[in-house]
Parts: sequence; C-alpha cells; structure tokens
Amino acid sequence: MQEVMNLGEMLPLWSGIPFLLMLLSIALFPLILPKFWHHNFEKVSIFLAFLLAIPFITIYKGEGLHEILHVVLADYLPFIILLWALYAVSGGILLKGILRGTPVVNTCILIIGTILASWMGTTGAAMLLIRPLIKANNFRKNKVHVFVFFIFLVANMGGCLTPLGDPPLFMGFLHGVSFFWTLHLLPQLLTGAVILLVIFFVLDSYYYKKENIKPPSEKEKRILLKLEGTHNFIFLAGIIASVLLSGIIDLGKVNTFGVHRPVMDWVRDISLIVIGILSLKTTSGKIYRRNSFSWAPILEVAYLFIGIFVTMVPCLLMLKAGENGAFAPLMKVVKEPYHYFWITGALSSFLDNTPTYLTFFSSALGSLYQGIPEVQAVHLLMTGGNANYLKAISAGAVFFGAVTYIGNAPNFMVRSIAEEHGVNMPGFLAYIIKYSLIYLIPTMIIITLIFY
Amino acid sequence: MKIQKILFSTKFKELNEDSLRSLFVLKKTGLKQIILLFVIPIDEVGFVPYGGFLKDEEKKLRKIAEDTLNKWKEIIIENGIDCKILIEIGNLVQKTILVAEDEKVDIIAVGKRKRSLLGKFNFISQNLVDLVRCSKKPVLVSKFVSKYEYKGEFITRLNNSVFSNPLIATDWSEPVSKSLKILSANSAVIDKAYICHVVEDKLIKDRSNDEITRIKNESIKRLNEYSDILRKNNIRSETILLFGKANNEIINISREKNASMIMIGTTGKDLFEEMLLGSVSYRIMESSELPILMIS
Repeated sequence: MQEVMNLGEMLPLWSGIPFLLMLLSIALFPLILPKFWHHNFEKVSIFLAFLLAIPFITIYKGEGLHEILHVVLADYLPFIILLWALYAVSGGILLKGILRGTPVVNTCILIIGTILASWMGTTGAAMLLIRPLIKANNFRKNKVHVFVFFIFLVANMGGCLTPLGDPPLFMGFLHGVSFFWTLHLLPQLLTGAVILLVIFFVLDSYYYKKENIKPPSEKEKRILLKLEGTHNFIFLAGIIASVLLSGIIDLGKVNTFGVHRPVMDWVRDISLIVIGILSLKTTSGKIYRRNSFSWAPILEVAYLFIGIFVTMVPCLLMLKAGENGAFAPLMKVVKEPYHYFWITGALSSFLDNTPTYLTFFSSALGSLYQGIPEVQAVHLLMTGGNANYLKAISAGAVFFGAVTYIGNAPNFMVRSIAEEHGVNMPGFLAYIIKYSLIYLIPTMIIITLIFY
Repeated sequence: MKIQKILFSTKFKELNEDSLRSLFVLKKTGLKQIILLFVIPIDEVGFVPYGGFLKDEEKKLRKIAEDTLNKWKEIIIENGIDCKILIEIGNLVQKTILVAEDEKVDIIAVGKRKRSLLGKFNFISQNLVDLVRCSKKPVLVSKFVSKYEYKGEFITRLNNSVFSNPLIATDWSEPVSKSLKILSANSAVIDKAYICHVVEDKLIKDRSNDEITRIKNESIKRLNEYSDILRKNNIRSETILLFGKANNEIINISREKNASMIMIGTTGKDLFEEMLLGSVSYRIMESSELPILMIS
C-alpha cells in the first residue's frame, strides 16, 4: 500500500490527460461528430488506453504494470461481467400486453421501474419497461416528458439502493462498501422520487387533458398484461446471491498475474457468467426478438470502459495520495458532504458517473483517511461519523447521472429506442434546459437542504 | 399449404428485382400478397454511444428504401398481386421473423450472399444462417443468377422458374410432410418433382448385405409412399435412392436432373452444432447454385 501511495505522490497532473481526453471524447464526439464516433468509438477508446499504458509502464515498470493489471482484473472485469449478466438476464424477460398511457398508468410504470432498478440494474429495468411504455403512449401527442422522467427515475435514481442498481455503486462494493450499506440512501431516494413523481403526474395529467384524444378502440383499451421469461427472475436472484455472497464469505486471496483478488470474487464472476449463459440457453428466442435484444449496447460499454478504466489509473492514484498528490488544491476545496454531493453530481452529469464516483470515492479516502489502507479506510467511511460523505458521493453519482444524456449509459439507450419509435426526444441542450434544470436540479437542491 | 402471402425481405444488393419476378408465377396457385420488408440495421443508426440515434442517417436510408420498394410495388401490382411495404429499424433476422409471425405469411424469401472471389465456395451470410435456424416458416433462399463449376466447365445459371422441377431431399424427418403439402397445394406450377434420399456411407459401413438390402427396400418403400401423395395431387414425380455423402449426392442429382429448386428440412440444431458439426441442409444452402426452400 505504501508503494501505491508513493506512486500517487510522484505522478504529475498531466498524467491525467488521457483520462481527460477519454471523458471529453464521450462528452463531445456524440454531439459534434456522431457518425464518426458511432463507427470509431472503440478505436478511440483502445488508442487512449494505450496512450496511457505504454508510457506509464515504460516509466514506472513493474509498479505501473501492476496498477494497470489491478484495475483491469479487479475493477473492469467484474464490472463488465456483472453488467453483461444483468443485461442478458433482464433481456430474457418480456412484458407483453396492451397498456393505455394515461397519467395513472404512466406513473405506475415509473414507480415499478424505480423499484426494479435497484434489483435488476437501471439498464435492465429500463430495457424491460421502455418498449411497453412507448407502446402504451403511441396514441399520445405530448409524450416526450414521459420518457424524460423515465430517464430520471428508472434509468438513474431508482438504481441507488444496491450495488446491482447502478455501476458506480458496484465499484464501491468492489472497493469494500458492503452490499446493504447503500440502502441508507432510501430516504434520499424516496424524497427525490416522490417529488419527481408528483411533478410528473401533474404534468402528464395537464397534457392528457389538453390533448383530449379519443380513447383507443375497445380492444386496445383492455389491459392484458403478461410477463414472459419469468424464470429469469430466478437467475436474477442468483445474480443478487452471487454478488451478496462475494461480500460475505471470505475464502482468502489468490494471486493472478501479481494481482491479489479474493477467491470469492472469482467465484462470483464465474457464477455470473454461468447464470448469464443458463439464461440465454433457457430463454425462448421469441422473447429476445420481441425485446429487440441486441448485444450492441453492452459491447459499446465494454469497449468504452476499458479506455476509461485504464486511463483513470493515474487520477485515482493521485487522488488517493490526498494532500500529498497533484490534486491537493482540489482536496483543500472539497471538504463538506454537500461539496462532495454537488461536485460528484456536477461531473457525473457530463462525464460517466462510474469513473466520477471512483474519483471522489478515492478523493474522500485520501482526504479523510490519508495513509490508511483502503480496506480499513472504507470500513471507517461506512461506519464512522463520516458516512454522510459516502452517501453524498453515492447519491451524487447516481442521481445526477440523469442531468444529461451522457451522464449514464442507459440514458442514451432509452433515447435511442424512443427515437427509433418516432418519439421526438429533445436534443442535448434542450434536455438540460427544458427538463433537467427545471425539474431535476431543484429536486437535488431540496435533497441537499434536507440531508447534507 | 398454398402460398398466398410471401414476405420478401430484401437488402437490395442480394435479392434483386428478377428474384422478385420469379415468384409471380405463384399467382396461378393463389398468391395474393407480397410484403416487401427492408430493415434499416440498428447498428447503422442506433445506440450511438452516449449519443442516441442518428436521425438524419435513418431518414436517408429510409428514403433510399422507399424509392426502390415503391418501384417494386408498382411491378407487383401490375402483375395482379397485392403488395405492402414495411420499413423497420432493428436487427434483420429478428425483424424478419417478427414480421413473418405478425403478418402470418406462408413463406419468407431472402437473398443470398454472392459467390466469393475465389469462386470455389458460396458462403452464406450469418444473417441467413440465423434466419433459417430461428424461423418456423419455410425460408426460400433465392439465387436468381448463379455461377458454378460443373464437370470442368464454368456455368452461369438463371433460376427464373423456381417451382417447375423441385427436388425434395429427405432424411425421413418431419419437414418432408410439409414439403409434400407445399407441392401438393401448388401443383399448377410444377412440371415434375423429384424425391431423393441418400443412404449415408457411414450408415451401411460394416453391415451385412442382407441388412443393406433391407435398408434399401425400406427406403424405396418410403419414397414411393411420398410419390403416391404427389401423384394423387396430379404431380408427376420420380423417386431416387442414392448412396454416398448426402450433400454431394444431392447436389449432383439436382444437376443431373436439372432440378429448379431443392427443398430440404432443417434439423433444429443450435448454432453451435450447426456451425461446428455441420449439417447437410446448411452445406447444400452454401454450395448449391439452386434456390433452396428450407423447411423447419
């Protein structure tokens, strides 16, 4: 650990440039050169990973290689395996039936999605419900707000209660935050969700009344809901159990390419792969077809995040070095929980929330428990008087991921699917100005006033 | 089973207007509607990482599809057949199967990847393998123009009379009864049908002469039963029993008899088995110059 801290103290600020370029690529290319980005994002990501890795290993040799292998084996690999398993299993569940997109029905879908998100991942819940929601609102004229609030609640906020819910929290879990600790965010979630659901219901009722559309035919009006592929809920329980047990059972550590990982982490990862394969093997192809299931989104995440994880190595080390590292000025400014809530949130809005979470998680450890090994420091952060810092970072990363389309991966998937079905989703700036600034940011201010 | 509704899933380059025209003959036996489906690949327009959907690209692809499909629609209607155009966004295989199910079509017609530059093999696309594997509907793999090597000569073949001389290749599995039903219901466009079965070498290896004779007699009996079914439906037919390697023998006999199409069942194996262990139907689809009607 001492060596790690030393490396963090030695690294210059500019070693974070590849990470900055990676984040700027994610933020700017989809806006400026979307077609180029669509066809070349994996090359950009791999290039930036090498741009960091080659000089980093050349200069810091064994230690540099160890840091990169550690982030790949201990962070990236389990992260992508969990996302893959959740994606595969939730893609095998199909919600069939005809719903009518009234304000009550839409609000109910949002509530169900918000609850499901913590247990099947924001991506899984969003993928399960987005198509029925689109179908239900086909007859509506003003429906954009439905999908925006869906992004707010189902694709983001709802995922804050377990490490399965949103990738940042799983990263916290991998770094020692216990599985059920995130349930401490329930009051924040309830506050935010209730505010947003009330606003949504009022807004949707207003538009519904204004539209004054004749109800669809009798046949369409009937609500016939049916879940197919329900056996996948067993696999979902298997995923929860695998993740949970990996945090409870201690079977010692195993050395893989010089990286010491708990045996249970490997057991969990292998179990998740087996669960995913079993789900794919036992689920009818019909369900995947009806869900328009595609591996494309998960492949995109896999390519992008190898770049993100590798390039962020120096930044994490510098942050862990606390006031002895190159980020000392930042450490001096960010002191209070509400600082962490807003800075994690502000950056999560425009950068992906997973690296942002890890950045400020490391920053808090470096600032509050400098020089203490990570395992002990995380334990102190959870149980001591500083738990509010962790809550602020966790809630900031998850909640603010909804502020822009680029804050969290499911946002762009929801947008893509909605637009594919003819919904005229707002552009990048319109989304922020017309929705996030008006509905989401005031909600965050209220949460700050109450909890931080 | 009359062919009244055909789903013509096209990628333009692979299945041209001539292939479409070769289906019009089925009007004689009751073809009522052709659905033209073009699927804009979701990979081309959707899931831009953190960016959403390429609206302009989608509009461009939709416009190209509409222009071509509308021309084809006019041709179809001129020939007295109803036509519907569908342009969907998504995965080609998924959408084709979904539209086939929703529209309750009788067969799906699709294109085939062109012969490789090496000229030796006809590689089938992964999409085609997936479609045939997943579809419950018969899939007609159209090959309007085929080039192939036969007895040392390079031959160009025009498959413009697909249904005149079909060859049913049977391994006695369930799809053969579907094949017979299809031919029986569309007898008006069939000149003569062939029904063949190949006794694989490995099946008779190390068997006594008596056993081989028993297998042969049993096979001839079964083939004759199939022939009787066709005869009752006024279709001339010929039965052929062959010994050897199934895919080679079927392709050779199709050339010898100048068949117009091969009808063959799929085994329902999964992708791993199909690709790794191989399957007669897939090998024939890959290497025959004739249109193939794959029946599950």
